Amino acid sequence: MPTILIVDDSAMDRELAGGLLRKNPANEIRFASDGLQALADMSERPPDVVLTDMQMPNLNGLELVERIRADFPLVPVVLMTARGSEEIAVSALHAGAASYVPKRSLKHSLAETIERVLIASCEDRGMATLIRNQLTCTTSAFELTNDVSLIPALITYLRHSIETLGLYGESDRMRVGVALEEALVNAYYHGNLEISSELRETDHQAYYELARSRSQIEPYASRSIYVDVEFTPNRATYVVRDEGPGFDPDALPDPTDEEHLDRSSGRGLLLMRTFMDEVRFNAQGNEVTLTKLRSREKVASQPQKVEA
Amino acid sequence: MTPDQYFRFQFDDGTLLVDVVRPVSQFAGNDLVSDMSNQLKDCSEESVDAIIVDFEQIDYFGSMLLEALRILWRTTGVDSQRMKLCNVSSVGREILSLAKFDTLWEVCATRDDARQALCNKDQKPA
Repeated sequence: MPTILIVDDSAMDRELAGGLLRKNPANEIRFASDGLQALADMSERPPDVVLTDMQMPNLNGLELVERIRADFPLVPVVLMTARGSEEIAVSALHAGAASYVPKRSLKHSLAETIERVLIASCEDRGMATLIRNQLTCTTSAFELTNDVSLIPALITYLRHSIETLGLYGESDRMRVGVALEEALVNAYYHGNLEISSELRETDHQAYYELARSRSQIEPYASRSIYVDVEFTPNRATYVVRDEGPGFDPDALPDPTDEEHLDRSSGRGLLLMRTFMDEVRFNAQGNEVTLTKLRSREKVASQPQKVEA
Repeated sequence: MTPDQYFRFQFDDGTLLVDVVRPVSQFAGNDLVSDMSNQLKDCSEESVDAIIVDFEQIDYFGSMLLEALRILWRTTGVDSQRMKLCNVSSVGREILSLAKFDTLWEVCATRDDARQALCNKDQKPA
């Protein structure tokens, strides 16, 4: 029996929407009069779909969508839009709402929209259940040739992967993203292009100019960055290797030493070491292995079974 | 805002307001520094008495943005107590704290708090 949580500060509108959805006897309908009450209700038992008004006291529809996306990413949200709430509804759709129904069209469109969203959601949850509960190991490997524009795309892909796997909460996903970016920056600029961050401290424009020119000449231009990734239910491991001569990470200055606060060197490594559970370099110093254990942070709602 | 713009600079009575307007990729280094340098050149005739950097539009950042903050501070020559950061996410605060940049510049909850902190500083006896 799919559960639908209807959120609206207008009792009349709640009843109208509830009445329309009760025509399907399989639906279980619950109500909340604002966003805060909805979140409290969801923390007790997440519904299969949320249908919400946009303009409400305490927490409006946009804020509610943002909170649900963060805390209950597998619960879809359908908006009820009224004249005057179009702008906020567009923002809510950008923030991840699944669909919307104009209030004036509830009678004709609501049931069909909710059913469509529930079917899609059921497929998403099935896949999430499979991946989060049944997957034992997945690996991938990338060779990034001399095209720096691909690196942000790789980071985005890897962040999406850990979100799908449900390994970490939102904050830890950000931390992993920061650590990976730092490892890849290190591999590109300091590894393959062999540029010292000391140059950036003295003349940042010369630093980037040197990077641009080296990226077009040998031996730097033909070097690649290799990224091997392994996900298991308990950890993510990233190995980033460049084709440069390597470096001694212990030789970097401590960036938190007050004397070095104004220097560029070492901050990336500091962020990597802080945000990952283990950071290990090979003897040559051109390969770093970053490991992050499964998050102790609350991972947003685990998949729930749904009967559409 | 142009696609290669990371910062929005505005002047308000001697205070330079800097909004970080989109996430800063670590690989945006050259564009990031160019954007900041160009905007600093555009306002080179203004006298910068204080700086407020507003992070409201980004969730997190890495060493590249830390470096941009350092360049901003060094180029303008503003006293560290006259530079305030605001609307920083929890992960962003963690990053600033790790780099100990929060010991250089005060991190305020909101832009209004940052303004107030600058005013309070103004009112303190020398």
